[in-house]
Order: sequence, then structure tokens, then C-alpha cells
Amino acid sequence: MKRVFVTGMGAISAIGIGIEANTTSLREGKSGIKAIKNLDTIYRGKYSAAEIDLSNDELADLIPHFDKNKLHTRGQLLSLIAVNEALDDAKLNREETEDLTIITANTIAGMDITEKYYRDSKAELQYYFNRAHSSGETSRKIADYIKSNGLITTITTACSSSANAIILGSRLIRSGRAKRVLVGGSDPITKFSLNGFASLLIYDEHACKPFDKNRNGLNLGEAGAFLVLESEDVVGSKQSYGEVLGFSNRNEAYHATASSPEGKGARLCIQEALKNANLTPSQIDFVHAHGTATPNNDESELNALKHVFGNNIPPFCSTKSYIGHTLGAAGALNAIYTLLAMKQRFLFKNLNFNTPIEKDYIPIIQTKENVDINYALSNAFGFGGNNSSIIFSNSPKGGNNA
Amino acid sequence: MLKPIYINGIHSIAPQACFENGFFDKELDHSPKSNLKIIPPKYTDYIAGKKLRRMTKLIRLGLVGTQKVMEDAKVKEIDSIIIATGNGNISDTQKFVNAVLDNDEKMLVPTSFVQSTNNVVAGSIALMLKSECYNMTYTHHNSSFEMALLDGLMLFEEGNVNTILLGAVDEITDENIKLRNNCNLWTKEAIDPLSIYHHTKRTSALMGESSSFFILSNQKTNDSYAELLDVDLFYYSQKNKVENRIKEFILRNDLSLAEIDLVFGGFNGVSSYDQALETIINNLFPETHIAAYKHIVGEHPSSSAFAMWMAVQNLSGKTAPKEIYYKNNSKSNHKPKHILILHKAYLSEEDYGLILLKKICS
Repeated sequence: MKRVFVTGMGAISAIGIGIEANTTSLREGKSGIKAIKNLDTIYRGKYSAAEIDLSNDELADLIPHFDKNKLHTRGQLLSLIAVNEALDDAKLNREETEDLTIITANTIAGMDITEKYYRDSKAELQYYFNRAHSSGETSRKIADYIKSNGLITTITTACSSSANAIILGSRLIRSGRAKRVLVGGSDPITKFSLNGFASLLIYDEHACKPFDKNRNGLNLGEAGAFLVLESEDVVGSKQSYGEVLGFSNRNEAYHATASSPEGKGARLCIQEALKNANLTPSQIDFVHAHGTATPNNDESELNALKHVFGNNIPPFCSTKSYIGHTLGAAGALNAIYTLLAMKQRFLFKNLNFNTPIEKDYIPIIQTKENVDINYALSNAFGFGGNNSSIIFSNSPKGGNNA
Repeated sequence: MLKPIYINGIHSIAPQACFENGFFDKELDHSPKSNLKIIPPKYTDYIAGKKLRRMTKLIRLGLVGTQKVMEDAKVKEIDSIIIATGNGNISDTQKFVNAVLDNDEKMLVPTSFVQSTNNVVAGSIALMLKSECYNMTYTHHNSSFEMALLDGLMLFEEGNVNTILLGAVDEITDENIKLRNNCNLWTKEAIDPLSIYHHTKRTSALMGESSSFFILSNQKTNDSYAELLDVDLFYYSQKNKVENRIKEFILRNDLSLAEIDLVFGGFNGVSSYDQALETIINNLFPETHIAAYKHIVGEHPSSSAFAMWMAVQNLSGKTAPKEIYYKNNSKSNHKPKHILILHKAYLSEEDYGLILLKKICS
């Protein structure tokens, strides 16, 4: 079994364009959640969300050689910005990207285009709906952009989608089928998703409060987040952010949208990830929770953590109060922030926290520097009972560090 | 070395009657159609009426498929669920988009939003079976089913599973059919679907849908249909690269090109599209028999799963009806030993999928 290293990362979210800007905001505890300004919705100015303050045209300007005349979605723009950064960061040359495996994830794909053109009577409507809406179109767009000819695929497991992209990419490398894999996800904010969560009564019109007793639902966010994974065979002496040590994908089989209050699915998933990484619970130094701030998720996730870690839950936090819930990008963005914490030796605070759900179960409330994190857990859970957990280990150098 | 993987259960619901396995339940229907919709099963035999009413078509197909395929394989438990759907749940996506636009974002019911997520089929199957196992959904155009198979192969290799439930579902909706009329790539006039390969200048494809389920196992049983040897998927724009990759794929399985005695090609009746595919097959496998599947199920991303449903029956010794052969390209009563399914995307032609199946040696 080949070892898997993260050698490149790229991200665009409401708290920054690029890894450096995201890191700064995390360090400074700066949230990207504000009253909705850009999305054309009746909730504009009333509800909060983590929007990226750039139009599609402005986003396209950030992508070298991007052909604006060709059909594109906001999710694809967010993806390409993150992809470019991740590939540059991993210093892959043309030969190395030629047969790059590409795994992307999303939940609503080209919904921004669909809801805009759906009632348009022009012939191009069909074209838009067929081409842009389809989940797989982002992977193709990336493959076309970087001129890669290899295995490309797309995953949708709701809000755990891009965690599963990391898991699949790692499994392809472990099995020897791939040497280098680009994995990640993206989603824009749309009327479709905003109204969906609002109709489920789990959307907080104010800024969300993960792991707070008085939390009142999630805020949507938009993002693109990508990672380059490389096999120990090719990583050489390249610096890496960390190693993908173990993971798990489990279904809770409890309810279509809700998690069981006791957090059985999350518990099974975390336990299996620990087994897969060959670690004991006490070795985990940091848990980057899914923490959507819905009453149901946080209760369930906290109960799972209590079950796995007993009275010694490692420092944990959610970053949904910075970036909102970014759906298809959530798992990858969570993973990226986890790796940043490890690499830069700091713990970010869980914003908007006031009252614990239960006494003694308090997330990280103060940013801490100079913290050694050897092993960290990153969670992503979704509708349909889809739960995924990934464990990273801190290995500053690649294969040579074995 | 990987232990053999067997296909121990199969099931399909298609636009032609095939609910009972054994190829088709009756003579194939030649009546002209402008789209190919599935013949729905009697859902109430499988799903309680109260639940059924709220359930979208894709979930219904998934739940019926799961029950039928587990019955066929005589298994009570499975330890992985993998679903492929190129288009995902279009019905509920359209329903919720319409509701948002019609009601100006007010008074919305969340049911169709919840069901619109593409993982809803895999999630519903897990709920029905109370199965907490590995659960995955691939939504990448026409190679979704091939990726699902590759995932299955890797799960066996990793050594943690014995029985995998693997399904492919894609639907068309009335709204899609309406939208189709704006686009020349889809056939609007009614035509005998079984005749699409006999026209030389067709420029549009028949929309279709199907649902196919399989039980993959590392245990051979008396009822095993065939062996799954290998699978590949790739995105190539250069044609010569495609042929090389197919060749390498066959060779890495210790087979010669001549040993492939039947190829299922993803022909869809669009002349230029079919010609490109035919050229690849003729260049690599000049002597092989050629079969098709989109004249039975129509053009849709996961249609290669239906090809696999036919292929494994053929490998298990059942005689294929003559209508499945491309342009009647076969001697009668052909008993293949190795079948390749060569699947290709329609609207962007660069996505390819390969499935290699083998007859079980007794």
C-alpha cells in the first residue's frame, strides 16, 4: 500500500482568495458571513451568507487564459482558481499534469446557470441545462483547462462530497493506480440551495453559532477548494502539508436529512478512520468538526465525539462561522484548514460561541499559536446519511520522512 | 494478485420488458417512439403505498432494484452500496427549481429539495436495508457506472468487503422532453428504436432511461453469471490515444485482442458518432462480433450498466436475441468467452468507459 501526501493546496472562500488570505483570516478570527449582497433573492439584505464579493467576470479575470466566451458556471470559476493555486503550490510540471487523475465534488453543480436560464425560451436553454447543470461538467472543465488526459470523475454525496473525493484519490494512490491526483470541490450560493435549507427551517438568518447551545441553523457559503495528492513513489523530497493517514465512509441509515441524536453514523465513521490510520483516540490532537450549527448536526457530532474520546475530547472547532456551509467544497476546505493548522502550528477559534451545549464541552474559543499537532481529524457529514472522516498526520517532508 | 470477482445477481428495468431476467420477457417492441421510457414495475409489490406516494422515480427504481437483485443473488446482507447516476435526480431538481421560481421563493415544501440531491438513491437504499456500510454515489456523465465498478474492484482489493450492491439509474422527465424540442441533438419524431442503426444520415439520438443493479461478490456460487475482470475510464480528446489505451487495457489482463469475441459498443444511431466508434472497434478487433444497447434503452449516461446486464447473461450461456447485434453483425448462437463494453459520452465525446467480462470456467 502506497503512502499518500498532500503536496499542494488552493482555496477561495468568503474569507479570502488563496491559501495565505484564508490563513490570515483564520488567525485573526475574521468571519466572511454578512447580510446577502450579491445573490438575487428575496432574502437579500435580510439573511446572512458567506458570499465571495466578486462577480463571475471578476472571478474569470483571476484565471489566466480563461475563455469567458465558453459556457461556464460560478462553481467552475471557483474550482479553476483553487486548482491553479494547488497545482502551482505542488510545483507540478506539464508532464506531471498530463495524466493527472481529477476527482471533483459538488452538490448543486450548475444550478446558478439553471435557475437563471430555466425559464428562458431561447434554444440555448436546453444547451445550458444539459451541459452546465450536469455534475460532471466541472471535472471536464478542469481537464480541458489543464489539458489533462486521464481518469476523471465526479462524486456527489451531499455535504460530504469533497471529503469523499479526498478518500477516493487516496485509495487510487494507495492501490498504485494513480501517482498524482487532484481532488476537491466547489459550490456557489444559489436561490435553490438557500430556499432549500430555509424551507427545512435550518437556515439561521443571522451569523451561525456552531456548538453553541442557542445555535439556530446554518449559513450558506461559496467556495472552491482543491488539494494535490502524491504517492510516496513520486513525492521525493518535496515539502508536504501532511500525510493522508486514514479515512472512513459510512452511512448512518437513520433519516433522509437528520442525523441520529446519539451520532451513531459519525461515531462509526470516526472509529473506522482511526482503525484505518492505525491510531488510538488519545493520539488525535485536533478535531476539525463538520459543525454546521444546525441544532441536529452539532448535538449529534458532539455525542459522537464524546463516545469516541470519552472525557478527553481533543481541542475541537467548526469553521462554518467563518465560511458558512460550502456544501460540495466543505469537506475539502475543512481538510485544507486542518492541514494549515498542523503546518503552521496554530489552532483557530470557533467564532460566535457563547454557551456550551453541555457543561465542559467547549470548542476552541481562543486562537492559539505554537501548538504541536501530530494527528488531526477532519469530519464531513451530509444528507442521505453520508458521513466521512479523514485523519491527517503531520509529516513536513514526503517519502523521505518515512 | 486480485482474487476473481463474480457477478452473482442482476436486475434491470428498461424501455423493453426485461423484469424477469433471461434477456427479454417477450418479443422486442418495434413500435415507433420519440423517447424511450422504462416500463414501470408494479411498485406496490415492493414499496408500501404510503411511502411510495412521496417517493421520486429514481428512489423507487433504486429500492425495487435492490430487492430484486438481492433476491436474484440470494443474499440477505451486503457490505457496500455504490450508485452511478450521470444525470442525477432531475425530477426533483426541476420540481424545486419550478417551485422557487413560481412562488417567488415563498411557501416552499422541502421534500423535492431533499430528494434532489444526487445521493438520495444510495441513501434511501441504506435506509431501507438499515445498512451502515460504505455508501457512495458517482455523478460523472457516462463514466459514472464504470467508476462505480472501479470503486467496487478496489474495495475487494482492500479486503474489507465480500458482497457489493452496485446500481446505475438515470431518468428522463416530461420537462426534459419538452426542453429537448429546442435542441437538434435529440430525436423529436417517432421512430422504431430498433432500426436506428440502419439509417445512414441520422443526426440526433433517442433519449432514454434505465435502471440496472448487480451483486458483486468474491465468492463463486452455482448461480454466478460471469466474472468481472477489469474496468477503466478516461477522458481523451486524441483518437489515437483512445485505441492505445483500450489495447493496453486488454493486454494488462493477459488477453490478446483476438480473444475478445464480443464488443458491446455505445452506438446511438447518430451516424458520425457511430462511425467513430465503429472505426475504433474495427481497427482493434477486426474479427469480433459487435452488439449494441442504446437502441434498446436509449441514449443516457449510465446505459452501459444495461449492456452489462445483457453481457453477463450471454456469458452465463443464455442465447442473445438477434436484435442486440449491431447491424445484425453476428453468426447465430454465438457463445462468447470475453466481452468488452466500450461506452462513450454523447454530447462531449471525450469520456470513455471500458468494462471487461469473462465467462466462468467450470
